[in-house]
Amino acid sequence: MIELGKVATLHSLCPDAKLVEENGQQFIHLPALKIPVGTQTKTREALLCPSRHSGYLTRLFFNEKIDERRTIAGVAVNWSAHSILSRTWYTWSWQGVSADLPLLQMLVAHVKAFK
Amino acid sequence: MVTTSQNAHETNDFNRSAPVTLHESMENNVTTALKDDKAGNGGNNGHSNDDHGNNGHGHETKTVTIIVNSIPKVLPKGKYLVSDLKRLVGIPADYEMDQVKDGILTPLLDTDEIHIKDGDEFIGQVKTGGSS
Repeated sequence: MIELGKVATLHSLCPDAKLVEENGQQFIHLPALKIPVGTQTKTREALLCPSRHSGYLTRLFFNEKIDERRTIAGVAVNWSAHSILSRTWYTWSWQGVSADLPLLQMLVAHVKAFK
Repeated sequence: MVTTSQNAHETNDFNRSAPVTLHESMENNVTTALKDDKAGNGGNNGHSNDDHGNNGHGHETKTVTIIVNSIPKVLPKGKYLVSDLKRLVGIPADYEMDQVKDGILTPLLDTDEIHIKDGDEFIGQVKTGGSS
């Protein structure tokens, strides 16, 4: 379980980050996460799931896809839609970000996929 | 090496009969730097400082507190090669390092030179994650 104090480590990247929960699964809600995409910066509302979800060790969900990035590491971005907290969120296929990482490094490992 | 000169400096700065811990002395230096900044002289106390924060009198080494992976680190003020900064703050050489500026991740190259300031935040980590 994520402790509230650890969520504060994300405040440099998203000052209003807060812990939310659905059916016993924790997420960190990031109301305005800035994502470097090439030479641009996109802002998205996001949910970080710091534990296993839909077959992945951890996942990052956005309220909207990032259409500007068609491929990541030479592979077409494979977006999927999920219903969480009664809303639709989008995530991409990005494996291998461990749940053992500190939250800040975990978030960075997801965000940097788009750089 | 920067940390060695810092330690040597502190040995000269303080009363040897009443030793001050490294941590305490660094905090004192940080406080001084902040006061100077508030005085509107950008941290310069009126004497010419070099890149390592020495004020020319040998009395004080100016330090700054930066945040690395959520942990405060106190270093002498100055310019650093990113590769040197990683070594000084305990980030392995093969890790990536980013600076957080206004909430945006900015990747740093080992060959970049940066002037660290109080409150600067850095994230160092092994490259992880991949498309599947």
